[in-house]
Amino acid sequence: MINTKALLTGVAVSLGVVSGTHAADAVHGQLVFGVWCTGCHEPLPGPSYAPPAGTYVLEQHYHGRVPSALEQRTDLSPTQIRTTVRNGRNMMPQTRKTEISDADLDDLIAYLTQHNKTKHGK
Amino acid sequence: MRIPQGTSEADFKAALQEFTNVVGPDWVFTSDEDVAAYRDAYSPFVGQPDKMNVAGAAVSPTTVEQVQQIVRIANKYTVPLFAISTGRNLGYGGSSPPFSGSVIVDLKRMNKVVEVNETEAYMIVEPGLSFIDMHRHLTSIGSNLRLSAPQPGWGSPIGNGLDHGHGDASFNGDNFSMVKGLEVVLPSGELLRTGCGAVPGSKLWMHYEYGFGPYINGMFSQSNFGIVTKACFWLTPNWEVQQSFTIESDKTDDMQRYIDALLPLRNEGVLHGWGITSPIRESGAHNDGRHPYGPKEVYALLHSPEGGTVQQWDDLGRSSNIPAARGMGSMRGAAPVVAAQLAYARERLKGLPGNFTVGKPIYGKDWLGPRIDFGIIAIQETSHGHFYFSPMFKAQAKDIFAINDTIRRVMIEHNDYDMLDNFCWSGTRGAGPDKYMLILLEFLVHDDIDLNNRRLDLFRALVKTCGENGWPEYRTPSYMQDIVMNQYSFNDHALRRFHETIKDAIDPSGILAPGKAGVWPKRLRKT
Repeated sequence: MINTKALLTGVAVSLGVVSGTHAADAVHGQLVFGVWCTGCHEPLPGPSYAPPAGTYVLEQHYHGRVPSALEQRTDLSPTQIRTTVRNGRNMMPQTRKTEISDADLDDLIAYLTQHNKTKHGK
Repeated sequence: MRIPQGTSEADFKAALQEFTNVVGPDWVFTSDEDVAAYRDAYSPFVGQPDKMNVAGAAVSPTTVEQVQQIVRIANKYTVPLFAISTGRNLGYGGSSPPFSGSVIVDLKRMNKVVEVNETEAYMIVEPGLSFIDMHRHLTSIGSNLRLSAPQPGWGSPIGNGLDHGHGDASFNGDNFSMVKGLEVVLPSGELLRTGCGAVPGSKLWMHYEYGFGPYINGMFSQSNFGIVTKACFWLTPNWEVQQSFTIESDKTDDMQRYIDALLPLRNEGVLHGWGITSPIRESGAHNDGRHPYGPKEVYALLHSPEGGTVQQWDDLGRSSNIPAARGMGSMRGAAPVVAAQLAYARERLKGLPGNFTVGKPIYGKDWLGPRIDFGIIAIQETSHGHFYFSPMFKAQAKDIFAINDTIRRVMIEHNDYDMLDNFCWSGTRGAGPDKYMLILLEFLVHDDIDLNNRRLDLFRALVKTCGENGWPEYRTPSYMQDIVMNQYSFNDHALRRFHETIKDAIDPSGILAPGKAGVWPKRLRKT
């Protein structure tokens, strides 16, 4: 499990303002996840009084067929991640390029797909 | 591309080209995909694109000078602008403009911490800085100051404060009350600093908000009179411990006695927060992701013509072992002070009927900080989010029962028993309101267009009826600005007409956020 507390409190990195081409960086992608995704998508039961909403909803949806916490998934495709981040889904709203830049999104995809058993095209 | 009414396509495109010259091509957004990212993520008009408020384009500056240039270009071509801080005001329209075709001025990249002063407990920040960003900054410098953050924490102190949002740490939850000074780009492009910030080299911008002359900070909240580029906020140190208590009884009539005891304690500053409710009446509610815990007879009483008598509710509460009246109080600060306040409150409440229970202490050091966490609110039967009905009412038992019964009757008139069962009844919940209280009722958005339209009709009817009874909205989505301003209609809408007089004087081209708070510039005003 990732130490999200350290990510959220120990590092001050500006996100969402990078543009241009670069090699996708899964380590930076982990930081993007920690800032933008963790609150709703960390493993159950989560640290708050209520369960992490995204993980809870995915748990209800998949009933254990795949892990409900996104960081434990090995089947997410780059297209699936990109589409969901940019368009949103149900309660999850879309995210703009001023928030997660295209470069940050590439890094996030690299992080969430790094343990995939099959390679998906972007 | 959506061209705004009143602007020619040639002028709109010329303005976009000049915006590009100011911020660079990467930060002017015109493609359908990029502009769609500024839609209201929770719009109840899903599936009805002709009814949605949509942006025409977006531009994202990083400096005050760029904001000034954008505003001057907009004047030159009569292009409407709508500024957002982080645009995460979900449930109240998010980043969508009240006037379709407006160019969003996305201030997200203006995210600097200008200054933090630990001893004097203030911060000066830019609008794109989120609660999460600021919390991380405070943590990285070892600060003990605590933000008054709502959840999720991706909104910004400036955006939340300017829209009269509430957090959990300011004096009464009211974040705008903590704003002391503003820096504003006016509709002319001129730069203004309010209060003591108007004194060249001022040392007191963040200390004394009034300065000299008319006090105008409020004119830039929920308004279209300027684009705020910096704000000074007072902060509070993180508290050592928060202690809460409840007092409960099986008699509805004890509710006002609790109020008569708790509100003076709040007025004296003994309590940091307080609340009042009727658990048996709320026990069937399942809005806000809550689970009903009461008996099914709750719904039968709610559906009955008079909504159940006091005796019926008290009897139902007794038979289900759920209180009919509950008062709540909380205090926070240093442990010895909180212990003394709790003892004092207990003494003052002695003699009141009911059971006094002390809650589990909550320690400030355990705070997780603001997070992007929707909590239980996300666990609802919705496919597209929600929008809020949020009327204010007096913290008096008579008013609490009156507004709840009014809402109940309007829902029954609209034959919407699902919504009534969802809502049931509301006292107040959470920290914040003081002599007034708020109902925060989510209207869930579904895939069913007819259902969404019926709910919008219900929402409008509730706003109208509650307004006529003196319970106005405190805040509303971008598409409801006009009907809410119409609640504030004393003396033939003197307040709105005053706003319009100011609007026409300072924004003669009518470019800044047309329609915000129901205030339209002359060129777009319906006579």
